[in-house]
Amino acid sequence: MPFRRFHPFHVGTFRFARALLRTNLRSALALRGSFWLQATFMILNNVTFFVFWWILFARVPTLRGVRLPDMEVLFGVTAASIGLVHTLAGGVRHLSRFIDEGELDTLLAQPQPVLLYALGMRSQPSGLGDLASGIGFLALSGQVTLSNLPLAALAVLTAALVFLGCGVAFFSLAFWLPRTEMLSRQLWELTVTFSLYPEPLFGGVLKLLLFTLLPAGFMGFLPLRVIRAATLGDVVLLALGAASYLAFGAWFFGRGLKRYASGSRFGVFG
Amino acid sequence: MQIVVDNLVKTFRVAERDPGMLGSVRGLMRRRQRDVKALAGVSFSVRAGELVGYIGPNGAGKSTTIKILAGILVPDGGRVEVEGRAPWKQRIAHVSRIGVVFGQRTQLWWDLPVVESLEMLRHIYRVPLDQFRAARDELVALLELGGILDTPVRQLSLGQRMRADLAASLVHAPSILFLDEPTIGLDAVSKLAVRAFVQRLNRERGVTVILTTHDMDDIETLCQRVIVISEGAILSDGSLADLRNRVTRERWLTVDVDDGSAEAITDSHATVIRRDGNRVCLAFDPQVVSPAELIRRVASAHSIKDLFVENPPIETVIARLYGSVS
Amino acid sequence: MSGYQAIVAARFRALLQYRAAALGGLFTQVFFGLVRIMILVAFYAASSRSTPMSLPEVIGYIWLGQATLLLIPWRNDGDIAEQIRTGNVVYELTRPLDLYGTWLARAIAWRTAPVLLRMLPMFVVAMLIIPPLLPGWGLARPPSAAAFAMWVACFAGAVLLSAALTTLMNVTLMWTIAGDGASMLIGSLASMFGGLVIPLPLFPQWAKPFLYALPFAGLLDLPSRVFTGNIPAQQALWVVAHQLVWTAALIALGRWLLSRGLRRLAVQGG
Repeated sequence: MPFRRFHPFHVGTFRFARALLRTNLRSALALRGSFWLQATFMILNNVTFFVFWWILFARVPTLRGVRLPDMEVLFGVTAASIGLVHTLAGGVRHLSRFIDEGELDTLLAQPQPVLLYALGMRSQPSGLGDLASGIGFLALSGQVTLSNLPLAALAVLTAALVFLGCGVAFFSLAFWLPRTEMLSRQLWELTVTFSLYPEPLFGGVLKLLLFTLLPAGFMGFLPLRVIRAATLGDVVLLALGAASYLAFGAWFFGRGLKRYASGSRFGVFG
Repeated sequence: MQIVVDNLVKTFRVAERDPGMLGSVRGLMRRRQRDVKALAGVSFSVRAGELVGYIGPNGAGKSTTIKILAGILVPDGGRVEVEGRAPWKQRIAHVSRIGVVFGQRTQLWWDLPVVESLEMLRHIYRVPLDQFRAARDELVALLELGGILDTPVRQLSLGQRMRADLAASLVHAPSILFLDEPTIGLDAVSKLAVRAFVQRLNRERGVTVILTTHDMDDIETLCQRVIVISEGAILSDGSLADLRNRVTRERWLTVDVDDGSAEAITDSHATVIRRDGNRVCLAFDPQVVSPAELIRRVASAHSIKDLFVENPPIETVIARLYGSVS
Repeated sequence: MSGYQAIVAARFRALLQYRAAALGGLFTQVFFGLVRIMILVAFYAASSRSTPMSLPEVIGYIWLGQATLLLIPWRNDGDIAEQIRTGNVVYELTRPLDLYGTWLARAIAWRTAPVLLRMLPMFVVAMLIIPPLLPGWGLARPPSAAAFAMWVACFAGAVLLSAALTTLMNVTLMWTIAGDGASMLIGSLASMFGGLVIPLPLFPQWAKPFLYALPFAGLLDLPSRVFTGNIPAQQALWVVAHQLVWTAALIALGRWLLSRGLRRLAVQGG
């Protein structure tokens, strides 16, 4: 007997998701000054981090077959996909807090799928900054043209889904352990960090790790390969990866929610 | 029976930590755990249209019961049926038919105007547009929300926010309403408004209301029926009068004298509770000495300006009830 | 002085709570450090030009950057931000304490406690655990006792400098309504100009005078290079002087802005 009935393609749910997204974007825009400030500063933040590669590639133009435009694509895909997640499913970073503070109670008391609701509960303004800078880097790289634009879009979209699935899994740890928000956030950031490093720099074992446990490969290298020179195999792999990580995240959350509803997290009584 | 609760059992595991710096360090290594029995076999039934007060000291199990009834928490044992459904097993269907107001929490969007939260809830509960408009207009009128519809929730006073939360919980016309400490922290005027609204809702619409509260005035004004829970078990379940009679037959006689003899007022069959200037309050058991007899005795010895006989306040009754168990 | 000691003690106690986060954070940083080193090793191997910093110095620099990462003023003091936002800060004036001094003490505690808690394990890892496992990838000991002694002085200077920067940031909260955005900017600028992203000597020649003049250089870059010997012990005194001059300037600016800000708030009537 499933804990809750899940109708992913219910019309009502879709309309709800749309309304939720609109409401949260408006909520974020309501603090207008802060919104643009955060978006802008995220762009600057990303540029700051890229300085590392600008300087290194200025000294060594090609390293194991990797050049600066490749790094720009890597950065672009990662930033854009993070931007998508933060804008459309910004609640993922707050899942731990929702769980810790019992916010899920309010969501459980309403007739909508809890995960979808929780993800749509927030929209981070910095997400737009990430998205904008991501597109900027992709444009700067010169590797995205009209011909491979759909592929680039696909790469960004699948990377976003992978990121989302992982994020849900990481932040759902709060269902089992108290005050894991910092740990989850570090895992999250670790994933982002690794997706920013080019494949040739890693040896075999690390590459395996980065393609499974931390899906950095699906967020970074694989999209880069697809944009540079796509093969059908790569595209299929990308799609499968996105679907798997998303499914895993949702399943993990569901298990955690069951535990939450049984109250066995840790003493919450009254 | 709209709501049936049968032998509900719920146990929690609580982590304990020693106080102080050393305790914190030790807490890094190991955590002690303790089982707390929040509900030890709770049973009651509620008919459609009843207004039930569910009261008890902190940690008694009130919130746990409400959460299980709302479908948020899964019990360890026992049976619950709300309109024929087990709340946690058919969560979405169940939750579409109930409204919940958590006193300390809000289900409104913090940065947005009230009217937009209501609009959002229409989508959440999938209420048809015309039905929603009618409900919204009516709720806005009844709860006097007209002036604050466009105000962001974070700018509302506690009283305004509570009224808005009440409206939000009723947008989808639920048949049962759970109110968890709805008047906590409110000013006197808001409390009256909330009480009047809940009473009207129950009397005119027949909405079943289950109310947890620490405010005894809420109970006296609203509740036809009171369930008292303490340490996971039900102590009392019946009307307010029944509760009083169960705990104590005691009645209080308050006398105002105008000859300054308040100090001297005593009676062999009564206990002095309070002496305050020209006023004395005596507690007595009407089966040992009738009110009339006691009044005659006091009046014969003193010059009385005013007097009245009353029940002890409900706080005293309940405190005695809790105290009788611990 | 005991009031300020109590502040530091309270912070330490609060920090002990985050056991999972503490270990996780350490692990992440070590990993991050190793990845960066791996990249730099690859770049140095491929580079034929001479560099202002030798590879061992760069490796040591990276470890030191990770160890003292928390000196970078990433975030505001949340409590102070809250006080300013609600206007309660004017109540602080009724207390018999110098407000700027209190804030500076808080900032010093805020910077010292977490840094030390992160620094000590990082040193253990970088100096004792990594070298046997990955020769040449660890943090080498300072070239002389004098170098180490000077580094300690520079570290103290960096703490003061960081505290002064943080306090100044907190003071500016009185003017910006959405404080977070500005802090993010200062944080990322400080990380770049402080040498966290890449050692300052590796920047292009035209940028160096500008970079060395800024206060941020004294946070990470200069002290770390004293430790590794890239800046000889004799010249380390200039580093301390640089830090102190900037600290004094920032304190002066902070005090002045605070008094202006409080007067402004009092006039507006909270």
